[in-house]
Amino acid sequence: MPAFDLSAVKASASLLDLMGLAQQYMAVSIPLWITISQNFQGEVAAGAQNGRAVRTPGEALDLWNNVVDRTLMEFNRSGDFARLQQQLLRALTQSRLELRKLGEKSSQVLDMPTRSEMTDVYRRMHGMQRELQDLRQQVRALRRVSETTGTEAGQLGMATDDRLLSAWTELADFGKRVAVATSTLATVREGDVKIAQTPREEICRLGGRTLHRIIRDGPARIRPPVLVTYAMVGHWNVLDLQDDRSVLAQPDRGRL
Amino acid sequence: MCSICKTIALFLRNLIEAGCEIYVTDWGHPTLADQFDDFGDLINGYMDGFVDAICERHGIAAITLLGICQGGLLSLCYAALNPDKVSNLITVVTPVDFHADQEEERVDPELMNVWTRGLTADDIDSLVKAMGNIPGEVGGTMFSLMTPLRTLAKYNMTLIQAGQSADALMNFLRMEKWLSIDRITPAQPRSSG
Repeated sequence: MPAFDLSAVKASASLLDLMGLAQQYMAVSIPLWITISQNFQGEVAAGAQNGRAVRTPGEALDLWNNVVDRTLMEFNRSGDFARLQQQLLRALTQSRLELRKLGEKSSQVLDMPTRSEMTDVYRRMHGMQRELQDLRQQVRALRRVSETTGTEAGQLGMATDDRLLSAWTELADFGKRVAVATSTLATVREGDVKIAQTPREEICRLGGRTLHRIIRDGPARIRPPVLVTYAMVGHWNVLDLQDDRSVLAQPDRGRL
Repeated sequence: MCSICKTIALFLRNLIEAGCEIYVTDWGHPTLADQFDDFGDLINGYMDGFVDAICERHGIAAITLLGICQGGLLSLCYAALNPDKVSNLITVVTPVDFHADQEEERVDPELMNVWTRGLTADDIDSLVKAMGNIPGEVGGTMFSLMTPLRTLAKYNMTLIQAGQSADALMNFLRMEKWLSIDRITPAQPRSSG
């Protein structure tokens, strides 16, 4: 007789919660769609009275889309909507966490690394990356000091510099290997639809982040250089989407 | 291409034509290995490393920062912490105060603000715990909610419209490709921001 596993019950309980909330969501949205229909009919009638009658199916569809968006928007901005969203989010994360517990149990049975173990590895890796960055900054600071002070102080600085450099090189190598592994894991995107066509060169890589320089034909005439930083939730090559209008390209490489 | 993106693009283009040297930060495609990166890592780690790399290449002490959207927020923080390394700061479409609509007693609060204020710190913590990184879909869903039906209609109505010319279709597909890039936000920035 197999032992009764409570975790499975918990996982299905959280799934049931989620289903219940989805039902509530439906219950709220049905009256909303009735309102939408009423608004649409109202606008059609009002338009006909003002001599702006809907004549083609295209016009009707446009009006319908506008009414739907406007009415849904009103609801989406309301406190009721925010509360419902919060409850849904809670139920979703809860069911995901319960599901993970089940997954971890199976992983242990199969001798595979669990999510918690991997998280621990990532945490340690993150700590090492921070240390690496600290060391880099210290090396730079020491280099600046040795460049500006006299020979004696400079030599003293160099001795510390060398020791730090070897530690730094070792950590840098590790960082590189981490970066290679991370980029290998990232999805490869190839195909006919190409973006980010502006010629650029990689200057520096820290973890999975990269600093690119846009390649120009002539030397720069304005100083200092500009570092463009886009949002993490976006991607910098939105500035560089269209081949024929490639924004970051040189004047002679395309036109906007 | 949206009008804001176009304007920013044109602005950058003018900077290049005027003779500026342009560097670009590429945050890459964050994986679970990046989940512990907080605002401190982004600003004092990566950004500072990149600024140092540029300064060393050119033998200078300070550069110009141009931050777009959230990049503007990061650039603003960086400039506040390292005024000696920043000679000029430009922020574009940068959100700074997410509570301004409350103070101004606007009757029509921004959807994003309403949604995030509806969540408690515990809600966000459990989301982070469950996801590791916040997937792009979470933000994407919010943007879709601003014009729900048009978003749904995109793939039949707009695609048909765009399909009328090969150029327009390629532009549409490039934008879609950009939108489809996994826009993941490492989970930690919230906690130590």
